[in-house]
Amino acid sequence: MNSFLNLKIRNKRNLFSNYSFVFFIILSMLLIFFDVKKIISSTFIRSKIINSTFHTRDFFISNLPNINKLKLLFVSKEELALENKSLKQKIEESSLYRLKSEKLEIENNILKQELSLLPAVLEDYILVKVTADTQTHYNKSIIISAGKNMNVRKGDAALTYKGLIGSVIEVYENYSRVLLISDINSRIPVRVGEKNIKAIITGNNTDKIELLYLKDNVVFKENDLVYTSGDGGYFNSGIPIGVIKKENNSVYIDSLNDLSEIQYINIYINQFKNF
Amino acid sequence: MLSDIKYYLTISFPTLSILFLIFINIFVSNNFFDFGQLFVFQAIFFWILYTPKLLPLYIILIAGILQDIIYLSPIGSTALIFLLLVFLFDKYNKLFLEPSFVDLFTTFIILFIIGTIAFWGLNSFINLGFLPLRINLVYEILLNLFFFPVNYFVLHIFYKKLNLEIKKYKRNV
Repeated sequence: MNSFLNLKIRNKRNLFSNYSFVFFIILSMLLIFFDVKKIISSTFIRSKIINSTFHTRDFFISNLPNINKLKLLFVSKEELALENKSLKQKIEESSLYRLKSEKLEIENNILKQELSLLPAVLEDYILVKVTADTQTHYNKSIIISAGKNMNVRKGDAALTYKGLIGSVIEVYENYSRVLLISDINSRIPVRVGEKNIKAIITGNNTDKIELLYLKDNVVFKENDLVYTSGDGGYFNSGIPIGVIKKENNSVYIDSLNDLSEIQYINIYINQFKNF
Repeated sequence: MLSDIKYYLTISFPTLSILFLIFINIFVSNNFFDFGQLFVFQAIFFWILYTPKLLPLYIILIAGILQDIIYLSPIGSTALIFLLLVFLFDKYNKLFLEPSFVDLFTTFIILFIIGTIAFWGLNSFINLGFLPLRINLVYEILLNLFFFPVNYFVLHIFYKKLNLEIKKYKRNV
């Protein structure tokens, strides 16, 4: 304990030579430059490293004793009965929502056919788990448990039942990376409110999403819904994103999802076939 | 043969501990605490202080690049900040003869704050505009400062148990 509090550093010379420092600092700066200017294809390197990293993690997790199974041994009958009751209730609720959504889908398809405006939309989606939340102050992205193995492609929309959360920007073998709508590099064409005002939304690494490229003198109402426009072939149109909020004469979008608490998401696959 | 494996595992311990902290930060702590990308600097600081020979600069570079790959930062940015902090620590190290733990803790606080500001500056420079500074950044610094003594203490136990001070000079001791 004494040595912990009063350590003696014997070597008072330089820990590393100045040349090594200069070399490695220049190397780091070159790497940043090459990556930012996209001179090197970092996707390939990221793909290999993320796959091996997550395989290592899965290997360790699969070999750990299953604590949940042990926990079950200590659950009382009363708790099981309560859990059973709540699960039954959830099933009833979800089947009700399913019925409602099926009814709406049929109605929607009939109306579309009557109007003869759009062909029937292919909406294949997969439910995936968020494997790692890699959000930092400077990057807002998550890694999900589906990649080329599940036909996920770059540009696919990622959403929950509440609305859009982002788009797939990198696809690996068994994993993909989703760039969230709050990221500073995210750009999504949208329409706002009942007047269908066109805009582009971008993140600024905070919870407040900004609107870009608006016409002059555009007025928004508080709680106007913002949804994807489908312009430029990005996403299906009409996916809700958030609502308009006003604060000190400025307008921002409040996402419908809590982007810091995402666990499961849907990925719309093959959406580009719709265009 | 077995002693060779044991020896190489022991001298790789500083590197392994850094990799371990990177994985902990991604897979475990991010669900509970947001330590940020500079969390690993706690271990780098400790090993640079005690056994700089077992943690060469290229390992620090690789650790930084690995974090950048996982967090989607521009490759080399975290490594650059780590190298900058190690450079500053190298200069500081010569000023004090026998620093106490309090001195080291103070140094870590200063270096960590410099690192956080430099990281923000670098990211702002890369994005060609000032990125917003949020209160979460302060929480992140405080969380790292709170956990530093814990990390330091745990690594110190391993340092003593594995006799790394002796092993860095002589093989098979």
